[in-house]
Amino acid sequence: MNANFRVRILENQFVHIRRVLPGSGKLKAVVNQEVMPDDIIGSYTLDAGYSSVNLRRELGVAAPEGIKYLQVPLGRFIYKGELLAYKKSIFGDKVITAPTDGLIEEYNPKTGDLRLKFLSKELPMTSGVFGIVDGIDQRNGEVLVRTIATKVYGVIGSGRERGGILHLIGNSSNLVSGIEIKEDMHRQIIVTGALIYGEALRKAAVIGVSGIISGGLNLSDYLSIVATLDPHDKLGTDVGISLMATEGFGLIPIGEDIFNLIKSFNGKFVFVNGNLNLLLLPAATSSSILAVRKATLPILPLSKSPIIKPELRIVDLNLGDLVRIIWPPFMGAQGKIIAIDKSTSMLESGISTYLVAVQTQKKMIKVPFPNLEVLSSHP
Amino acid sequence: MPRLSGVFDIFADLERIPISDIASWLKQRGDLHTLQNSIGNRLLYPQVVPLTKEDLNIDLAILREAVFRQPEKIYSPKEQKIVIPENFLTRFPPLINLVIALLQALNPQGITTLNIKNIGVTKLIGSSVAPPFNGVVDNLSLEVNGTNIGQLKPGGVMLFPYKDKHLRIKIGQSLEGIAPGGDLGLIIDLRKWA
Repeated sequence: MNANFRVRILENQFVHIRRVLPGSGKLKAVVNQEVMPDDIIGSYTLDAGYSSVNLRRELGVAAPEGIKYLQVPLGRFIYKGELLAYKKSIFGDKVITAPTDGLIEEYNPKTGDLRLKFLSKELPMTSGVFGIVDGIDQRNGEVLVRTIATKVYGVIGSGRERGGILHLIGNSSNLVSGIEIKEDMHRQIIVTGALIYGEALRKAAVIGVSGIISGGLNLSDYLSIVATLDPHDKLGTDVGISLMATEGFGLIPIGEDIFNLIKSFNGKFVFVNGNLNLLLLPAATSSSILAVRKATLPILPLSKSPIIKPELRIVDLNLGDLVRIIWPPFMGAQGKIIAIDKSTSMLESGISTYLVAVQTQKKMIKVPFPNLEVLSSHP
Repeated sequence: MPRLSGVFDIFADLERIPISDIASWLKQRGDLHTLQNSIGNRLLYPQVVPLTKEDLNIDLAILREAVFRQPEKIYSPKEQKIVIPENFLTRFPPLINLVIALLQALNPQGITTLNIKNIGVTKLIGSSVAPPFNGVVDNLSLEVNGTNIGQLKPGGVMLFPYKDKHLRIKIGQSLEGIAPGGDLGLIIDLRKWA
């Protein structure tokens, strides 16, 4: 009785991570420099963008009247939290504060929209990892850092490599809607649980979330990003956000093996490469630099990522194997094989097959053997 | 590196088939997201077996669309022959439902033999007979080896479990010929007569 063996986690691998300036700027790192996560290796200017406040809606006035309530005139700068508009009312005063630093650029008397232009800011880019700089590309604003990281492989994804602070929104079986995606998740890599809805994905992209890790994705949302299920066609897709699903399509909790690992990296700097279905969890201890010094890695052109994914291979199913269930119900559940039937059973579908008893943390489940993948073999 | 795969492996570029084309074969589609995700997971995990009848129906829909797009994988119109890979039998039970699904995808006309192939050995299991429809529903009486079996009902697919390898059949004035029976038997396909 055979099953596919899938590599999901590879611990302590020497890898190159790429740090890319998000805007125009200058790199300060030099080749062979040893870096720590907070070391500034470059700086960049965050280009101006826009935000808008609808005074008609917020103040409850006719759109052409809205401008009367502005407390700072058009063309002036305002800082986050300052009083922007005010209306006295017998039912309670209406107070609007500036949502961000910016220039009060324009008011639309037809819609009531007040447009604020963000101020350009110079921001630092940190290394994010303990490592050694192996390459610099000033023209593309890229730094290649050799480090040690744990590789976590998902099954589907999209987007180039992006880094950010890992932010767990909830537990492994959470469903995430737009309301849970907040402005402060900008440039973070968020872990959503079992599913992130399409509207939340779109909101995350607008906010500038760097990456999303989820157990499952709805196929329709996935196709709206990658356009095809053909892995050869989708290689290299990027819509400004990187995402990876660890289990498959639909509502599927992140597997215990991956979730337990990810939890310990909450708040740390990590990288996700959706096109490779890969999450990189860099070692968070300074002693890792000792091992990094001794390691050598081939230096590839900075703008190219090596496409190396562990392949599935066939193994025998044995008692004690750690397995993962890959079909509903209980898709994504993990456990150990405690028994293998010696005769076939007829499923409701009419198919006859051998059943395997899998002991999960919560219960024992009988599963047709083809619906299992092996995560680690029992010797 | 070798990996376990599934019955759909004989079809190329299954990933490129629009989900809506697969869904069009299903009578009951249920929740669209659930259906789409199920089809997506089938492509990710081709080796799994369906537990429920609903799962099996989705697999049969994928099979129909794959056969519709790549009929040459199992059908030779020149030889009027359908050759079913043996692993389909255990994966899409019962056999009659599998054969009907294939006929729906292929729509072969006239007499077509039905065969099962396993590692180079092909076994005849019966035939499908679809009399040409000329636009008028006339006499549809079935005769087998000179015996009048009765009137056939237009619009459906009927199975007659004949084992003989040479059956002389006649359907009204529409079709006359030799059709083999076998372990499955003789299938009369009158869907076009509805």
